[in-house]
Amino acid sequence: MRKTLLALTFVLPAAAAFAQSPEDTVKARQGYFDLLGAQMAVLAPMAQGKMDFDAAKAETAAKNLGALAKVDITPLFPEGTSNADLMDTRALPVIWERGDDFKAKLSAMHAAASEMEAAAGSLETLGPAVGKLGGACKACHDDFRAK
Amino acid sequence: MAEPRRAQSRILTVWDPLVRLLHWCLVVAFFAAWGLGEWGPNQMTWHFYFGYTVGALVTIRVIWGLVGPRNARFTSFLYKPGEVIAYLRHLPAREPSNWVGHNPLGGWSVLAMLGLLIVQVATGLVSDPQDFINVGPFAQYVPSSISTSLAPSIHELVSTLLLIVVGIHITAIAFYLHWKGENLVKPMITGKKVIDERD
Ligand code: HEC
Ligand code: HEM
Repeated sequence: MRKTLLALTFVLPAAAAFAQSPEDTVKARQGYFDLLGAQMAVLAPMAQGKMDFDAAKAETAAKNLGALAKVDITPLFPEGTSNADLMDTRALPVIWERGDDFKAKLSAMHAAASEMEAAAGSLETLGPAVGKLGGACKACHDDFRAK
Repeated sequence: MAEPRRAQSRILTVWDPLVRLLHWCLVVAFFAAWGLGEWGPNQMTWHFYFGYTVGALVTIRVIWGLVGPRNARFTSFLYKPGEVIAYLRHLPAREPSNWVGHNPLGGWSVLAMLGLLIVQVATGLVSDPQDFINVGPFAQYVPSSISTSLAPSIHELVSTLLLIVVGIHITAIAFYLHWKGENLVKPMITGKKVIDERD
């Protein structure tokens, strides 16, 4: 019992710092980006006229984006999870070299995503909002994600 | 020195109007597409337009390379390796090549540029950078591993290769002008080339 407790005191801090395996952390952030993508997959074709505007669907997707914008995913980018450390991730090591820039791009995306709900009511406002959000995705992918 | 030369020179039409028109349109569209791809706005609409333009110009050039006049044809300017080596031996000489049409080295560089441009346009058409605003029109018809990863990787790699090959192309033209005293730019504008027939 004492031994177990003693062992726990060593294991717990480590476990708290790394609640998941690095691989699971990568999967979690990829899941976040896929969720973003799933909302954009509804809004972008409407904005580009490839699909009829559906106010109810647009509203749901925009609300989801607003909720996703509130999620702080920086804990899902711990050191040691770049594509130089692990397989199956496209996160470039520069994320950790230029951390401030990465966070700025994340904030820009969050800002654009939270504006979506107000813009999703009509096609006139949806178009520019999708353009702005998509631009925020691209800006980060260009610098911080491998091809 | 110039006088006797001119007396034994002939003025030939080396490039037909379509070859010249396609060439200069390609210069503009290529650099526009390149610059917009690298530094353009996040909304890449104009990159796409110039990329489509490059695709159309290259397509017409390939057709012209099959059915056009002699100097425009692939069969006239793709030389055997031995002929290329023979030409290379003469390259350092400080005298004009007086070649009519593409020389054996230039012919292959034309093919390299057209080939790389085809790869560049093809990969762009199926690229999906996952931003939902700049998706290539045919990305949805290929597996997502290709559209989101392989195609953009090749698109980026070949964009660099193209810049290198175009750089070599321009360096070669400068070499002919300054080292060999042969102006290759003017014929591509006027179509006419002065061929010195003394040797
Ligand atoms: C602050 C930077 C940043 C922003 C902003 C950003 N992304 Fe990403 N995205 C990444 C990184 C880094 C990865 C690679 C994650 C990995 O593989 O570990 C990624 C991966 C993805 C993936 C692939 C996920 C997978 O399953 O592998 C999709 C889809 C995606 N992003 C969509 C989006 C969309 C849509 C937006 C905008 C609404 C967006 N991203 C905004 C950095 C960003
Ligand atoms: C000769 C023609 C073209 C040139 C020189 C060119 C060049 C470029 C360059 C330099 C980039 C930036 C790559 C990077 O550093 O990330 C780029 C990106 C891109 N291009 Fe093109 N391109 C051409 C044609 C096309 C075409 C026809 C399309 C499709 C319609 C296209 C679609 C894209 C897309 C979607 C991107 C962003 C994704 C990525 O980075 O790969 N391109 N291009």
